Amino acid sequence: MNEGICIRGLHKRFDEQIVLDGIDLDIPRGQQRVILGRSGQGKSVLLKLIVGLMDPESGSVTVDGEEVPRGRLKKLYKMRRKFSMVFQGAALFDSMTIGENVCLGLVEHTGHTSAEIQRRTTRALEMVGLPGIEDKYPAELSGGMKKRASVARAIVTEPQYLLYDEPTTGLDPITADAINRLIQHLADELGVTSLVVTHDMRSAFTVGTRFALLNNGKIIFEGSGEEARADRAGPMAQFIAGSAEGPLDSF
Amino acid sequence: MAPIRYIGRVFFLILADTGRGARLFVSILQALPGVPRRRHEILRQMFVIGNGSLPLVLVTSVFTGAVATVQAKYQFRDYVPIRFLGTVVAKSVVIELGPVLTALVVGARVGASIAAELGTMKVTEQLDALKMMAIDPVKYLAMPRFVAALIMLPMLTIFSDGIAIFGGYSIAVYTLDVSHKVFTDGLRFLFDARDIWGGLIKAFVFGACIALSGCLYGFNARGGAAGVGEAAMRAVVTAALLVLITDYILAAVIFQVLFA
Repeated sequence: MNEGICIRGLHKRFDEQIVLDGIDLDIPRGQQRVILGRSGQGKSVLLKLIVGLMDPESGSVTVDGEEVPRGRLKKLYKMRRKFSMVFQGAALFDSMTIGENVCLGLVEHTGHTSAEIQRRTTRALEMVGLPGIEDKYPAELSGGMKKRASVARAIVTEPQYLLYDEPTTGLDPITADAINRLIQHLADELGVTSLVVTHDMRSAFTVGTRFALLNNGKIIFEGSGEEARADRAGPMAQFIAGSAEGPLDSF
Repeated sequence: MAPIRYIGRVFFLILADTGRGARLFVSILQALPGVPRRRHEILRQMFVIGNGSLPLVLVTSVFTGAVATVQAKYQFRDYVPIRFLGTVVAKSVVIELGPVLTALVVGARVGASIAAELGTMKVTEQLDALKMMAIDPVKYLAMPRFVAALIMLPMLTIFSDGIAIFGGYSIAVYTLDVSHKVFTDGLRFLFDARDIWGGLIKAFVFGACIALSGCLYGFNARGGAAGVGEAAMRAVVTAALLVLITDYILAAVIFQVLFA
């Protein structure tokens, strides 16, 4: 598979703890893939390994046919320009205004005029439903607004791949639904490949077209929404039901 | 076995930090061609380091000069003529007390501040967010702080030298019955501009030590608030140790080799 993300035999451990134990996963271009799993199963680690924020013990990640370069910063940064990521805690730069946060990628990497940068920043904030907040600081925003501002920062550079790390964690159900709709809308409108890490099933079924369940360092289910719902006695059924009883360990 | 294991562990940690520090130092040097592009951030950091430290340096320097004068007068007693009082105060301030005490107080303030700021960015994934935007944190965050500290430490040292000598003069003239002429003649006697240059070279290197230490521990902070606190503490301790150790090395190189 040349177009998209291809993960082969990915292993990651922290001291004695094995986090990922030979992950194989293909995410073709244009797909909305959701990685599910309980807390602490290595979902966020998987995202960071894909974009080279962490190095694996073994295995490889290729993006559009090119292996993610490890330890070669220039090549890694070049590859990362295909990606944007929405972090779990939004990770907005708190010393900068929202406008500065959103336009930073454009200022650093494009030769656009300041008027063009301003126009794109305004448009990105409008797309996430936050018009006119360019001069506010992250500390002045609610959790949901921070997440949306973080999405605006992610889409302003028009990436090919958008990674979301727990986009709805810690949000009230209404804001969470608004974020889910936003993710879906962006995937439809911008045509980007989305990779969403979550344990929120409602969010997963809203934003995803294919699902992978990560447990004890391995992918134990992979399939479409229909296949996930059809897995009546398996781990997906337990995960969807949110039950402590079933094939997945509760602790 | 426990003490040996402890010493071994501490030795290993020092070795690991030294390696990380050397790597960061090389990365910052490689980022120096980006100085013109980051000039606004460098100026902002110069303001933060310089302007914010002025009151602290002012108070420290006044009392440093005052103590140097009182101690010198006591040491002289009947053995050394009082006309050398200004000479001793000026030389000790310019060569040693000004650069070192300025570096220690500014190092505590700035080292902790840099480590806490970068450490908070690390634990809240802001550094990862920068890297995801293909922006190198060394070029964007560490290099401007490093350059700003390199420039501001010598400037603060010049300020400190002036204030300390003024403090010493005030104490000598108003409380120790030394005349204005005797003190100022002493200042001029044996004056050597190389003393000032020597002190400023020291301050320049101390600036590098302080910024490097703050950036190193900030970038490597782990965990939450406790990790940031530990990073700030380690940055201050390391900066102070580096200042004192490099002070000896620089004293030996500058005053026994370069200016000998």
